[in-house]
Amino acid sequence: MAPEVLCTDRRTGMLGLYLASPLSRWSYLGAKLAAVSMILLTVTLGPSLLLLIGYSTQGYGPVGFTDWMLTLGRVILAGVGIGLFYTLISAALASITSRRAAASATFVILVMGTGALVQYLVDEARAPVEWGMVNLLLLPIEFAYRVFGQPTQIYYGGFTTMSTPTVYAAFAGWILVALAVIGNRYSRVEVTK
Amino acid sequence: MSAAAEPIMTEPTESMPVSVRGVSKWFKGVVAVSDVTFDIGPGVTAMLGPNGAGKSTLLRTICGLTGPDLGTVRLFGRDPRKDPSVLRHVGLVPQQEGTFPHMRAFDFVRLAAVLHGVHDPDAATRAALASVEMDPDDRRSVERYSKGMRQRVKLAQALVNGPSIIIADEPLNGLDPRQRVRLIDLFHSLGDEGRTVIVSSHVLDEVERFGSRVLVVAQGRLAAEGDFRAIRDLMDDRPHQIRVRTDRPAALAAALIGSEIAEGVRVTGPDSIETEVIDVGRFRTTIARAAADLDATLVEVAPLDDDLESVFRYLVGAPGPGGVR
Repeated sequence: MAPEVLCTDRRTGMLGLYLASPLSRWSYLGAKLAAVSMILLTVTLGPSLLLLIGYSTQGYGPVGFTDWMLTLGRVILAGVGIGLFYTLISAALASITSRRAAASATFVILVMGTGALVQYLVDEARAPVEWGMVNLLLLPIEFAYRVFGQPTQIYYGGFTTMSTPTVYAAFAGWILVALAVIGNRYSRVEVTK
Repeated sequence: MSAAAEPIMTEPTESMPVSVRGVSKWFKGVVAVSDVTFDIGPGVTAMLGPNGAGKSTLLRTICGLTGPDLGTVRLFGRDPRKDPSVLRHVGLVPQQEGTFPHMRAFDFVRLAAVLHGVHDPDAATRAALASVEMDPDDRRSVERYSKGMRQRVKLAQALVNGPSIIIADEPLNGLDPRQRVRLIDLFHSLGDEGRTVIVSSHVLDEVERFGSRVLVVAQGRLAAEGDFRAIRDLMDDRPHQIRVRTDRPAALAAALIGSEIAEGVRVTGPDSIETEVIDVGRFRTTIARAAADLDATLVEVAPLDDDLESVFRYLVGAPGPGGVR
């Protein structure tokens, strides 16, 4: 989604028309990322919310108002967190190139590739379990487990798992790196056609 | 040469629509614009230069789409890169096809109206499309339009916010002769309304039709600015070519050579001579006196090189303007 909305504008010159209006580049970027996030949230947040509402109406939901609100908060945090994570990672890649296909392919390769590579390194090459910090496929899922205070279902090297602070730090780190890349690229962005 | 007018370095003011001061821009070591300074006020100003001269880079710099590596750009005294709100007064017609191909013209122009914070975007969109002779109710998408129609849609989106500054990069590309005349008239009327209209072109006869105020850009530098006839007059290190039609060309040519006013004299026909002179004023006096002394009839004394093409060729030093038609 991010390559579609960001790369296309730069390739077609529409970015020039946007930025030749009173719109600041940060307003432009914020609006585009919000649009991408909204789409992603229908996947990362929508089903969880429906599940919570469904369970609640059937009497299987959290017991009491406080528990229900706590669970709702966790659902929102995990859903928004994962949506934000992938939105920013893909936007960072899309900010580097104006080629939509290249950005999309790089995103898929990065996510799937780090997933396979880290699994191999830890399981087969006995690398430290902290390599899971660069596993873009499973790190967001780890994050969701930790938000819900659940034992992780993702194991590296048998039964070894990363600590919760490590997961949170890695998750936040990736978001900050992505934000830095996007900010750097768009603060210097020049419309050259 | 004194033709490349020395810029008067004054501070940009809020009353000056466009003020460019010492702007340079380069891309990966290639200098696109080099130390350019000019002010542009209300009316139509044509920016002329060959392809690759730096015209589009200059226009994008004025709009804040590209930041200058050196120098400053101010619109009404404000930096468009740091204060995008000033772009509320700007309408840009980009050179490339930047339109949403799948949108209707109305939707595309309306988007520009919304981006510029126009109070009634629907009404403004209809008015802008009507001003370029486009049907606001056309259901077709922009991709099904001809090149000329897409150009007019781009112009409509630039006019939709009623801008004080209109910047058009090669706006006549792809238009048929009738549409060109219509758009040139439209630019003139916008200029007459007191708006600042900057139009770039690499086509000399187009530029002449936009008016006499030009910015000549060559190899990233501002070669000259102002009225191109005044620019020619200022080029006092280059002789003016003048054709004289008379019933006694040989005698008049001899008189001119004898007067030492002419750099060179050629008899080019049974009733005409061509001469090169530096001081046109003195030449006119001398030729009139010589004709009277010789009892010759002067049918015509006409400059041959005060058209824009001659000025352009002098300024860029090209025998035939490269890339300029």
